[in-house]
Amino acid sequence: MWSWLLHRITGVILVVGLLYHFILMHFMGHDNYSYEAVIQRLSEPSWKVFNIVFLFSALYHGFYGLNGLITEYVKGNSLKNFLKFIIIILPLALAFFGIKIVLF
Amino acid sequence: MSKYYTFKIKRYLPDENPKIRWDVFRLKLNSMERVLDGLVKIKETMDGTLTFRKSCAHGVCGSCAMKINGKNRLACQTLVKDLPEKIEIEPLPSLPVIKDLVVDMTLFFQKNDKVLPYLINEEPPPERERIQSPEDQHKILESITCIMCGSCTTSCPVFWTDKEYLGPSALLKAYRFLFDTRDRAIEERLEAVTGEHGVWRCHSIFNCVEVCPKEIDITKHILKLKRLAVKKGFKGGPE
Repeated sequence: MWSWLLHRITGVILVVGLLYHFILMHFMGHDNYSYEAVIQRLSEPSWKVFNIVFLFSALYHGFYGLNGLITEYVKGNSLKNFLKFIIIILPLALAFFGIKIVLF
Repeated sequence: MSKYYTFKIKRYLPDENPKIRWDVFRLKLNSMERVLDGLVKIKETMDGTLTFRKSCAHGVCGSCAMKINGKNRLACQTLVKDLPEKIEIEPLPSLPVIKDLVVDMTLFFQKNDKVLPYLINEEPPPERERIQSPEDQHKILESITCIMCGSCTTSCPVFWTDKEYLGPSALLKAYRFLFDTRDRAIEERLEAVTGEHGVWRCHSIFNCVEVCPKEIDITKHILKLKRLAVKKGFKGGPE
């Protein structure tokens, strides 16, 4: 139940977050995208929080969806277990690199 | 006014030939007759080996659910005049076929049993019956009209691929008892429907709603089950 509820919540976060991200990256004028502006923006703590929440929402939402697909479509237990193992390891690795980029 | 119709029927006669074949019959039916009348006419006058289920023939028993022109429906509830001149009939999809239009419903009924489809109330019974107010009855009225024909579960794409999924019919049955004010087994029943292959596998595809011969909004009921499970989960019930 909690996994399903978190899927819904991250879905809402993604809708709002993506909209914000999209508007900021595409409609805010050219000055916004210079190297200095981007570096400045990424060093702000509020941006770091936003990016980490965004990262976790996207990873959780996407991989929970894949988990559902595997549960429903994959026949044969060994293949199923292997794929389920992959979709735990892969998002963890991606989260690690994501955090590294955002924080350091 | 009568008209000629072509019935194209998917045949599977394991005693004769393990391969599927399509038989075509041409017969005259009047505008008041239903697909089931056509099937009976074929069996009586053209090909006695044609096999299908039927009992009440008035949309109450749910025996004659089959796939007619690509959609699961009751043969006894479908007038031929509402269909094109060519009528294609198949057994219900994704269940093992026993013969012709007869499918093995064991899996379907097993799922139904999993949600404990009976009233559970340990309290001593009152002098007369357990009273239910009209308002309380209204909460479950729609789900009670289910005749368990199997149209919904066999039309569900999740059930096609995940045979362990409880399916819309069993979940609707769970709803019928979970929201019954006389029932006391909320925890047990919720545990039965919230497993990995339970209520969370419903992705609101609405195929079940589209085919239901009793026009029950099954998806709405399943979503209410999800909501109830989340509410109970916050109060420390089964997850």
